[in-house]
Amino acid sequence: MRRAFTLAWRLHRAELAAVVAASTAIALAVLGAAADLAETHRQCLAIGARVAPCGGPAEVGQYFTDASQRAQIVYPFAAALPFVAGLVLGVPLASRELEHRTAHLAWSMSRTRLRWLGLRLLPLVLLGLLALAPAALAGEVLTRHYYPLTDPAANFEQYGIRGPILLARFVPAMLIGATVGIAVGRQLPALLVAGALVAGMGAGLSVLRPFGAVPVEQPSRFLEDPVQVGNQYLGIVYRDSDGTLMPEEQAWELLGVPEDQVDPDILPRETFLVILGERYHEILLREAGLIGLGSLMLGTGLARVVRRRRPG
Amino acid sequence: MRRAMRLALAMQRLELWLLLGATVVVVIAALGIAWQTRAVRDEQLACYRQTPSAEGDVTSPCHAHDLRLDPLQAAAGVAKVGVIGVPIMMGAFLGVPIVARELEGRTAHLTWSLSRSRRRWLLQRAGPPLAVVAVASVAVGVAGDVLTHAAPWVEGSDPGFEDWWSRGPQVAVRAAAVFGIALAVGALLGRQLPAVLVTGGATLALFMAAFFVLDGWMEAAAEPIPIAPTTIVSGKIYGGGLQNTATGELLSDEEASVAGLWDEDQLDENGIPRGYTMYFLMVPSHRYGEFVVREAGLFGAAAAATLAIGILVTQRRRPI
Repeated sequence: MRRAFTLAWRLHRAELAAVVAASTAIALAVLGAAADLAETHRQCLAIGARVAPCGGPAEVGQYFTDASQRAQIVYPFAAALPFVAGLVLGVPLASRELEHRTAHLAWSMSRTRLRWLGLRLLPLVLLGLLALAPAALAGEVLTRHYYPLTDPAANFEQYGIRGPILLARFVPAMLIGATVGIAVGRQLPALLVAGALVAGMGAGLSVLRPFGAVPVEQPSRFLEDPVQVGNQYLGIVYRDSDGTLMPEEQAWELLGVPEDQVDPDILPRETFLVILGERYHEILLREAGLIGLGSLMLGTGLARVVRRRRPG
Repeated sequence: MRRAMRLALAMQRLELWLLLGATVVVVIAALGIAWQTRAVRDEQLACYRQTPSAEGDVTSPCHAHDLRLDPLQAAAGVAKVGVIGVPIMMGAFLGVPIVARELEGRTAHLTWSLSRSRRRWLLQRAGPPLAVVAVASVAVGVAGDVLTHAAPWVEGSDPGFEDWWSRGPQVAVRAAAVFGIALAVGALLGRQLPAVLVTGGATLALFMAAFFVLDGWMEAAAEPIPIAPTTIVSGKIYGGGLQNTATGELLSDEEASVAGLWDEDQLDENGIPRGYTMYFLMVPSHRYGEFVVREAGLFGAAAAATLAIGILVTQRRRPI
């Protein structure tokens, strides 16, 4: 096994170094912002909420400072990191051997092709997860300081750029990359095709969230109670006085009528569809389950492609 | 020459087809979204003309059209990402393998020894893909321009500096610069995938540098433009304040506040301090073309420099 790790490092050191560099850069940027926000929070606890930006948490649960803006610039990079890392490590796994015409040698020297795949894939997955860990941990630290009044375990903010889900997303991306790499047999075209598929997977995960969990309706009480940080907002629905759902168009027609010309009882009630923050871990588990199932299917597909692929 | 062109394109046909496919998708999507946006917006404007708002009505009488425009605007946002991303990807993915694939596949010593000179070989290999990148990027940039001009808030007016990165033929110059970087990095590293990664990092650095340089140029070129409550101005705004109507002296917002000019008793019937005119420190929209040329010069210089480095490295490096 140690030899397998050494080989993985030697074959993919440039890609691994790139992933480590990206993960470290993101972690440092995020931790820098978190440290600044922690300092702001410490000072604000001492001087009270009347001086800017100390009023922020009292009103909306977060500070609006240069550090929070810096953190927001990093978000898209952190969100893309597991997908890009998966591609960069997965695509060359076999496509490089195929492109250099060394696959027939490597495959014939191994007891079975599946054993070859396992010995190549497993060390890379573990090294990739290790490389991404700093960014995942830094994201958790940031959330604690970005929303100092909200329990991070009951907070959907910064979902996907922190904690274990960032690591989990790496695995299917890598399996897609490896499968496409073997199927196409050339690195750069495989990177393009796998990139499109992984982007589709990322968009799919975003669209599918909350993964079948039933949302609850909350009256829109923003003016009275603006602190709604932590819940996952899904949309708005309108209900009439009987509680029956009303189409948005009809609701807008009624809301547009001047107040003195309409019976207030027939005005639609606007409610938010939300997943409450305390279900954060449940949604994480749902996504992890979906990713696990998808990874199993992708892994099976990858094994089949490796067994059937001509080595030239 | 024709054979050389065919060979250069055949060597990268898979990447070429994939990227040209992406280009066609982006162009068709951008034009389709633009066409639909204009059609729905025209219907909405006709609706506004036919159904003026009732007194006291705080909502739009033609809200149904907003429900159709919102997803179109969201789709336009995605198409703009394509307009930015596809030319960059074309430059990177077609530039890297020209030298790097030969080096990685250990065929460089054969191809280079078969050619009269390495420079001639490189020009024959790099020319056709660069031409494809330029033509495809111009098409994408023009589609981006159409998309920006079709936005509901433009209505035939000058969009100014809006969507700076996702429209216009300057998209092609940026793609050429990325192509140059990719070619040079591929020749230096001699391995395709690491070269793509390094090209990505170098491209990010180039675009960030260009952003800051351009922003600096624009801020330096910003001029005070007097505005009245009914004036519609278009351009890139860097600040504003008050101008003394009699002396022409300019005061920033902070200076005006400190001087107490915004106190209630100092204001006229329009809510402006008496004896003063509001101004924006801005680059007016009509100077858009000037900055497009400046940006194209910046990226053009980067393209020329990186292509020269690519040629130099190819001429001097060992063919392994």
